[in-house]
Amino acid sequence: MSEQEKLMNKVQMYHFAMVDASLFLDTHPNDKEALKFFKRVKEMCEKAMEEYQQKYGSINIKDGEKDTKWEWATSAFPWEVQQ
Amino acid sequence: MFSYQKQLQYPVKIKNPSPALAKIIVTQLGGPHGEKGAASRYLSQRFAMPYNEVKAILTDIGTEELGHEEMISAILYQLTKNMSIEQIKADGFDTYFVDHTAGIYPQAASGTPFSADTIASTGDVLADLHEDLAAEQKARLSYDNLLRLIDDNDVRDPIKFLREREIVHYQRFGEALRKTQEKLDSKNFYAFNPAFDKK
Repeated sequence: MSEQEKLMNKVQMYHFAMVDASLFLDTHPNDKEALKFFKRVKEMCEKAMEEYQQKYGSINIKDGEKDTKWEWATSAFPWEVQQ
Repeated sequence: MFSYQKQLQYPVKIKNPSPALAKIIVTQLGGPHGEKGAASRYLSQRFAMPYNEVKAILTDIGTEELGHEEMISAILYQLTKNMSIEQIKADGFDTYFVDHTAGIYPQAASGTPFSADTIASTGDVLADLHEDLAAEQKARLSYDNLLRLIDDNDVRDPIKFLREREIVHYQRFGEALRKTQEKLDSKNFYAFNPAFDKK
């Protein structure tokens, strides 16, 4: 597995933890333990995303601008398998 | 509003093309228990929900289903990339190929195009939530049946992930139903529809 794939896996893992926790919180909005968990994985997700975006291209459109280029449109899309 | 993130919810990395598998997996995009119907159902139903936590769960599960639509499409894309004409004929994929080539088109495994009937938005809070509970079970059983038919581990892996999500969504919809019932008359949940009747 390439470094890029490893880092994307990290992004996906932490992002998924956020998604799953947010569904739980929707029906348990006062659960302190879940809130703490959400905050923790959110920080990990943001860190992994930032590292990925710096090295390999934007995940979020708000980060799509790189130097003098609109990199959002030129970097690979996620359904392509990297060779 | 919605914004796009350039990542799949779970990795899809398929090495071997198989039009035969694409032919059955397409049902989880546009079939009766597919992800397109699920996403549209929840994102439509939420407008009839009087309670914020229930609006939240429908919004967030509906949004996740959009990500699942993308995952199924990615599976179909990878299964049909680099397939040969011989494979297309041998696997019986010719009936799809003639209209859609290797493009993504929402239909059931039987070839029936996506039907808006699967969206089932009634404007009745209890009817909608019961629909959603059943829908998650039906999606789960479709994934169970797909797993009975698929040997390739590259394909099984994301399908197993999607199956797990149906179970989690079922649990959350059960909680949404309980929360809704707590706000209604416990002697007769059906005395009035809180989405329409004044009281």
